[in-house]
Amino acid sequence: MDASSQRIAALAVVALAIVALVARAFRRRKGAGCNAGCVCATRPRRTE
Amino acid sequence: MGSDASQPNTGGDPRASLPAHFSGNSPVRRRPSAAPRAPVYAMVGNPNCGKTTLFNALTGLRQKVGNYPGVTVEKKMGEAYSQHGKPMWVIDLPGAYSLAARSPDEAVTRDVLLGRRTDTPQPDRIICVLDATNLERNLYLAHQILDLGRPVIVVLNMMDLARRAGVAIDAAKLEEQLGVPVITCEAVHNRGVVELRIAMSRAELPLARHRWDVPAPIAPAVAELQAGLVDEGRPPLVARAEALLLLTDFDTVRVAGSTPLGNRTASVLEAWRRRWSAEGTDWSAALIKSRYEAINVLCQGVVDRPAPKGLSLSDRIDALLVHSVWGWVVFGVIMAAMFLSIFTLAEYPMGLIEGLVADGAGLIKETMPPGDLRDLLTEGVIGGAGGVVVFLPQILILFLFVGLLESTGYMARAAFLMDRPMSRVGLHGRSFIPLLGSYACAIPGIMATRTIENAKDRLATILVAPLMSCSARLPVYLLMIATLLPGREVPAMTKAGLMLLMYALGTGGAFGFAWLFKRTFLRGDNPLMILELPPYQPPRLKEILRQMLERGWLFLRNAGTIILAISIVLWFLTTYPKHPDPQATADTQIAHSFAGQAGHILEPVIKPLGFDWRIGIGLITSFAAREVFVSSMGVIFGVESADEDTAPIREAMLKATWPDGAPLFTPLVCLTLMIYYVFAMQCMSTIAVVRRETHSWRWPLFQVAYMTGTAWLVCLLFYQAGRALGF
Repeated sequence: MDASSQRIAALAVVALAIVALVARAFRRRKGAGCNAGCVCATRPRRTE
Repeated sequence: MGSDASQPNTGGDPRASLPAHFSGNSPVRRRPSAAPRAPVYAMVGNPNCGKTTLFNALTGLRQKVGNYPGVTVEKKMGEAYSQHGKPMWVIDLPGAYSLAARSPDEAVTRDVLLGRRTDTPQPDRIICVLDATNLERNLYLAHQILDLGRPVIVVLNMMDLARRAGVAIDAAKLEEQLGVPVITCEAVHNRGVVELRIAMSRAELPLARHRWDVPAPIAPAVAELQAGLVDEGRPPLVARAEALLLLTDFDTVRVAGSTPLGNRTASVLEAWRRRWSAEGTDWSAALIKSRYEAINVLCQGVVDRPAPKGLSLSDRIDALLVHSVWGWVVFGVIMAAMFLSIFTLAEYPMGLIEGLVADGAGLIKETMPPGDLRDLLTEGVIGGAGGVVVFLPQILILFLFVGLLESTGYMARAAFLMDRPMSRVGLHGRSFIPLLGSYACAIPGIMATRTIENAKDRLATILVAPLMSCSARLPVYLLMIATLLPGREVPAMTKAGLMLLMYALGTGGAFGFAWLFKRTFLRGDNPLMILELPPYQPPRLKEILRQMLERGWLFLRNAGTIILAISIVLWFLTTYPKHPDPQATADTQIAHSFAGQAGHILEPVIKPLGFDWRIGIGLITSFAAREVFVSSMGVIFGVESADEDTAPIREAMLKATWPDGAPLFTPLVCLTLMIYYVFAMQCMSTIAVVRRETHSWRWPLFQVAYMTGTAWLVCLLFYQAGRALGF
């Protein structure tokens, strides 16, 4: 993989990361991002 | 028994369909559907009687459980299956001592049962879980539930503990007296769950037979209020139960989603209250007393409690653990052991992960030709997200200790112990559990404040909870301690002491600000704390291990998602635009980059604290989550030392200098940085949760301003004082 292809691939990964961060900010629901996993992160998966 | 509960009796409820999210039907559709719908069960009981353990056993879900009151503060729904494989919905409600709610979590329970919630279907049937060791007190809530006129299943949980305490309960007689099924159960050992499932599968459940006469002076008021509520659309028995609640004077706690009281009912209530006040009738006490009298009659011949034979084992342990002096000694030893373990036990696995991360980066460097993608992988992905993963063992150890404390029942003792110092700063002892929970993460801590009855106390607790050092700060502290004390010969005790100091500083800060708030804009009375001390139980290792792994997985998931994405973006910002001179040094390149330019704009604000623009970048990116600071340092210093062999972040950081060649990460700067993270509000998720819990942007913005302002000021004083003293 030459330097120019590497640059294109790297920029594509960066673009993907930006899209992922923006998407996450939009779909952030209550409690998302919590570290403890006790109240919100383990909310029932089979429920509404 | 035997036929399936596909068409449950609903106690006369005209509602025939569930909201859309339950059944796919419109919430306003009343026409009976041809397809049978799943019955909805509500699980209620006193705090810490084992509701969530039973809920998990029925639904196969894994909601958090703990041996202290107030673990569940929000309703949770899960799907269970009957004996014949038919679906049933179970709602796990927060614990309540009475339907007359005194705190927001109890109000959720009351409103769901009374059908006041617009977002939750009124339950068809109720599972009333009672703590068999404390039957008389638990029956107070059960008595109110039976008044609702809905099919009820009574579960006598913790029968093993009751037997051990010598309490004999005649479940058959209780069933006969109440007229509803009574199931004996030990939810922790999965005993009685099948019997409960069979009872839940019954097509018909008998309605309660119990009789309770409302005291004569109150009866006309109950009748009038009941008539008004029936006119507002309540079923007659629910209206009667609600009328009784309105008269106990505690029906004032309202939460979002509750339907308000009608004008007519409110005016009738007010008129009766005025009349009784003029007559000197204590209507509230009369109702409570008459209910307890009915319970005493009910318990005759049902409960056989042995005469007390001195102190129980829990009482004997409590004599030490809640002792005014020894209690504190034990508390200190437990905390010290926790932090010491974080450094000693984690050393080997941490070194192993560090080695794996370094090997991964080395492998990529060997196999890929130089270029941007290779740099992105080694500096952005491995240097950033990999640098955070290294701290997984410490996170697991922290949660192992938290799990042990929660599971054994020590948490409630610690809250009791803390009541005295907390009342001195104006905080309610009940605030301690939310504050202690904030050591894991401020978000569940803030949600746990729903158990606090007084609105001002609750707000004060919410405002100071993020000052307690959460697990996200742990990687920052660990990195700074490793940079501050780089040698392996430094005793673990010194490192643990430093860590303990940071936790103490956060706790002291929380108490100090609570004192300030409670003496200024949140001034109010200091109510007495009444907290149930649950009996000690052996730790449930399986449960602790499950919670530990779940939290470890969340940590890894965070590292693999948000932290990874931010690291990649930060790598881009530190790499582009490229310096026009291809031979430029890494220092010059990063200073020329987008991040370098932004960092230089910020530098004048943070330079008085001893921080340069590279640390500034870390401070900004870690607003997303505090651990991002570690990955940011990994990316920035990884980019700087790109030409060298891959080394742990701390070694790259130790080589960082100011433009004049002076070292950047001096011990004083490392300590200042740790203090900054103790006080600064660096967590967007917490801001969002505070907004949700306070229903306003005012408080989260105030929190950001006061916490970050304090962090800056304290760091300025500390750093400048340190410099003046020659450090």
